[in-house]
Amino acid sequence: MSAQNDSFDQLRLILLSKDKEEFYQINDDLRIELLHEIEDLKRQLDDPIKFSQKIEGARPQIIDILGPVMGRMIRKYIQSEIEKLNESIQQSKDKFLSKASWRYWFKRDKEMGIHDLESPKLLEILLINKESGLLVSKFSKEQISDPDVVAGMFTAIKSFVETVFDQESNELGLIDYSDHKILLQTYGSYYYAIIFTGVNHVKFKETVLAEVDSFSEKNIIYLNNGVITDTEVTDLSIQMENHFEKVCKKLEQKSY
Amino acid sequence: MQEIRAKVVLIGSIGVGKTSLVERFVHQKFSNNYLSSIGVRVDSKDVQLNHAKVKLLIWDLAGEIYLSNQYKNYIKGAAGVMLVFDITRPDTYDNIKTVADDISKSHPQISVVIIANKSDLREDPQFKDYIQEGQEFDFLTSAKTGEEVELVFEKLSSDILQNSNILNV
Repeated sequence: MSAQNDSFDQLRLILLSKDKEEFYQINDDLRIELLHEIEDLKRQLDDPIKFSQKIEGARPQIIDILGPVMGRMIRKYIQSEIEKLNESIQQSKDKFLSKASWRYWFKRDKEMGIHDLESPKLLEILLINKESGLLVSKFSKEQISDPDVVAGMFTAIKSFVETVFDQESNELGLIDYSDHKILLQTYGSYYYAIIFTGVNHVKFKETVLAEVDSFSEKNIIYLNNGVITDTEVTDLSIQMENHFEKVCKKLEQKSY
Repeated sequence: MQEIRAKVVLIGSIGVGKTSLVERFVHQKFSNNYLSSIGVRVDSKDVQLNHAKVKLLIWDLAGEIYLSNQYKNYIKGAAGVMLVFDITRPDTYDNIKTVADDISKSHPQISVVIIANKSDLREDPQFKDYIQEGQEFDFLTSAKTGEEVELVFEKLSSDILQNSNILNV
């Protein structure tokens, strides 16, 4: 598990190099001040109760400091911390932060200009041959450019990570880039690349993966074969569109 | 009309011109930075044959991957492999034939071609002494002039099409 975390950290380092460059361009004094604030936030986030009290007390200062320089990196950092906090709260079933509190927190985010910290939104699901990287089928809510090439690149990144970290039994499960996240879920000779934006909410992830499971079970005959005929690909594409169109509607009705 | 999609992998030593061959053949969509960061860049191009269309997904592997033998992880699921060497650098031909034979033996469904690249330099006095006799290859190409570049991809597509009953996803 620790090796897997290291792998993710290293991949994150590679993918976030551009963000890091932007960060280092920020004025030095401001950067030091920000780092103190971020460190402080980090400490506070370990204790959600203290954190919420602290936030309440220091709200004007935080807005003053963070508001004007709220770039992608800070947005991502806060998003990531919210995700961790969210997971921790869910796991412990601690009720101290009510849904209303969360809404209040998100309202503050928007006032601070963090417009992208929104509910997760499913954009695209690609069904890809694990070895060749060829796109078999897809569901698109928002069309990405050249999905065939994107499917190939996802497979290349997956192979790269699994080769570098020599993880034969483990597979790359998540690519985190800017506001986009790509969940990778393998079934037999194929894997799904599930692309979404917004907060990586545990319940959202569970719901989507459960739906992918359900779709895979229905189509297990295709997914266990290394070879699919053109007719089967067409059939699979229609089924995929129908299935995930319903899933999208279901997800839109829920608030995360 | 029959339509298939196929993965084709370009491998060879550093600086033999693999990326230039791909750039000559396809309108490049993604940055070369992928090559330096993860060692692979994927491009696509449709090849129109007489009665069929082949959509090639071309995996351009960094030379380091070839030299470290890690290319084996990347040729999985491929329908074609292009082994490229530079005619002005005999060391880049070393092992090419052995690698081609190994791939053909371990993956009989993969069509393999050996490409001698940089044919535009064959008359250059600076390199004349380096060009060796007896090298076995299928195509003599130049990414610079475009010589035989289209031909390589068409021939490979045609070979792949013949095996398409097992190669198509």
